Amino acid sequence: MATKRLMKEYNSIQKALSDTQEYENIVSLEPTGDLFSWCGVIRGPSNSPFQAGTWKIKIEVPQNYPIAPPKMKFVNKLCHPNVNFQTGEICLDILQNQWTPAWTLLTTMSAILLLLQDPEPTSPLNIDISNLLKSGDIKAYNGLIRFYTHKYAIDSV
Amino acid sequence: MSDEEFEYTDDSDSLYSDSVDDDNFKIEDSLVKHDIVQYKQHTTREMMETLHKKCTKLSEVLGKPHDYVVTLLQSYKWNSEKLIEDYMDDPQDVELRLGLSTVKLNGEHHENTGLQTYTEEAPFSCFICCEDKLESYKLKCGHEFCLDCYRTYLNEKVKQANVIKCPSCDVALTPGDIDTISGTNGSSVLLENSIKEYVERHKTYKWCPSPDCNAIVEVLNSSDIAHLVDTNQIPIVICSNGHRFCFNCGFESHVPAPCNVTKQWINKCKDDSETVKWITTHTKTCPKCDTSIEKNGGCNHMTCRKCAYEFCWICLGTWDNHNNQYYQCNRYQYEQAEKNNKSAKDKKLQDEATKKSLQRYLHYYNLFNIHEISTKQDKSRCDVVENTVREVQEGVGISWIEAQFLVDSASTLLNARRVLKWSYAVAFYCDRGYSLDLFETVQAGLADAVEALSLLFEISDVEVIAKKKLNFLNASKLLEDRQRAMVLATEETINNGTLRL
Repeated sequence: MATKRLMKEYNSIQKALSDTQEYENIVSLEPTGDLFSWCGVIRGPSNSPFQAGTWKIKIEVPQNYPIAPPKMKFVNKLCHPNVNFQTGEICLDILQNQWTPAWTLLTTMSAILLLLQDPEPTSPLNIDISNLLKSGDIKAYNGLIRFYTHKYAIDSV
Repeated sequence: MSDEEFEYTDDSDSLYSDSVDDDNFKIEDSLVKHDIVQYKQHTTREMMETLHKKCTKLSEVLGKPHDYVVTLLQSYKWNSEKLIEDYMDDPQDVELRLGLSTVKLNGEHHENTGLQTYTEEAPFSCFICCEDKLESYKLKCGHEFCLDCYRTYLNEKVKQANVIKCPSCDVALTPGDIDTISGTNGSSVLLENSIKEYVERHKTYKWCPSPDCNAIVEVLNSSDIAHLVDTNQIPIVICSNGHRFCFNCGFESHVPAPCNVTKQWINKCKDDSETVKWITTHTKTCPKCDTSIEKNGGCNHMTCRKCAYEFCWICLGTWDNHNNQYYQCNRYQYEQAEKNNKSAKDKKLQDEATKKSLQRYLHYYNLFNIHEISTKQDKSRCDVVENTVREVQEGVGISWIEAQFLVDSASTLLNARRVLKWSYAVAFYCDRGYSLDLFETVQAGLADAVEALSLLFEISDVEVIAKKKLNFLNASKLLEDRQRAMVLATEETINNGTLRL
C-alpha cells in the first residue's frame, strides 16, 4: 500500500512544484535512495524573519504510511518556538495525533511552512524564543531569528 | 416540549440521577450506600444503557436522530448540561464545531452518501492507498475512501475514544457510519472506550481494582475524600461484585492501616522485598548470634565465624547432638522446632541497632506476606463455598437458608484476615511502648480468632460441618468482635501519636 501511494505522490509532487504558485517556498521534495526516506528543502517566506534562509528537512516514511504519519526533522539549525534547536524536532499536531491519511508529504511540508509564519508559543520546544514572542518583544524575536537564519541557513543547502 | 422533558432538563445536572425509567434499569445495583462515603455501584453495561437512555431522551428534546446525539454527547465528554446550554445558545455553531454540519463546505451538498459500489470496468481509485477498489464509503462532505483504508483508519481511531472525523476534513462519523464501515459493532467499542475515558477522567468514578472485575463505583461526596484521608479515615467502597477497595488509593481494602501508612508500606515492600527474598532464600541466621550466613558449599557442620557456635545447617540445632546420632535432624521434631523458633524470636528483640530495623521490617513483612498468601488460599476456598453449601444441603438435608452460615463465615474470615494483614503494616510504623504492647495484644487475639475460624474451614465432612454450625457462628462472631477491637486499637494508637512515618 505504502509503495503505491508514495509512487503516486512522487509523480504528482514534481508536477505540483513546477506548476503552481501554492508551493513556491518548497524548493524541492524528493526521495533519497528508496521511497521511504525523503529530503525536502524549504525557503523562508519573504515577509518573515526567516527570509533568505533555506532549510533541509529529513523525512522518514514508516512502512504503514499513510496510516501512520511520516517523521520530519530539520537538518540545519532553525530558531523557532516549535522546533527543537538542537535536534531539529518539530512539534506539529498533524505529525502526531492529528495525522490523517488524507495528508500527503507535500501538504505536510506546506503545513510546516505555515508553522514558520504562525508559531504556537504555548507549546514550545524552544523556550527562549517562545518567551520573547509571549512577552510581545517582536523586535527581539525577529532579530534573533534573523541572526540564526544568517548564521545557519544561508547557502546551507 | 412536554412537562416530562422539562423535568428531564432539570434533572440533567447529574448524569445518573435518572429516576424516570427504572423499569428496565437495575435499580437495586445502584443503591446509594450511606457510610463515611456515599456511593453508587455501576457496571460497564449499565453505564452504556444509562448513556443510551440519556441519548434517547436528549434526541427527543433536540428533535435529532439518536446517532447524532450520541456523537454530540461524546464530543462533550457526556456533559449533557453544557451541551444543552451551548446548543440552546447557537445550534449551528455547535454542529459546525463538532463536524455534524456541512454548512462550512461552501454549502456543497452531496447526494448518495454511504456505501458505494463500483464495477471492474470503472473502479474507484482510493486516495489513501492509491489502488483501484470496488467498494468505498462516502460521507456527506463528499470525501470518499475505500473500505479497507477506512477500516484501518477506524481501528486506529477507535482506541483514542474521541469522535472520529473524516480523514480529509472535520465532518464527524456517526455510529451508523462506523458500524457500516467496520462491518461489526465498531461504534459500541468506541462507546466503551469513551466510557473508560470518562471514568478515568472523572475523580468521582473509579474502576474496581480486583482482577477481571469491570465494575465502577461512583462516589457522591467526593469532595470529602481528601478530608477523610487527612483524618486517617479510610474511604472503603464495595463494588457491585462485592469487592471492597479503598476509593482513595484504588487498592484493596487496607483497614485498619490509613492511606498514608499503606502507601509507605507498599513502597517499602517494593524496595526491600527483593533483598529480603534473597536473604530469606539464600541465608540462614546463626541460632546463637543471628548473623546471616550464606552456605556456599561444604558439609552441614557449620561454625559461625562471629560467635564460633557450632551448629547443624539443616535443623539449626547445636552440633553436639549430631556427634553420635548423625542426621537425626531429618526427622521432624515438633517440640524442638517450636523451641528453636521461639528462642530465635526472643533473640530478635535484643538485636544490635543496625540490624534491628531490617529485622523488624522482616518480621512484619513476613507476617504480612504469610497472611497475604493465606488470603489467597482462603479466597480459593471461599470460591468453592457455594459448592460446599450445596453439598451440605444435599448431604445433611437442611435448607439453603440454614446453610448460608458458611458463606457468611467465609466472607468474615476473608475480611478479618485482610484487617490482620494490614495491622502488621501499622505495627511496623509504631513506636515501641505501652501503646504498641496493647496493640499487639489485640492483634494476637485477632490472629488467634482468624486461625480458629480458618481451622473450621479445613473440615471436609459435610455432616461434621452441619454439626459444627454453632462453632462456625461463634467463631465468626468472635472474629467480628476482635476485628472491631483491632480497628479501634489502631485508631487509638494513631490518636496517641505513636505512628512514625
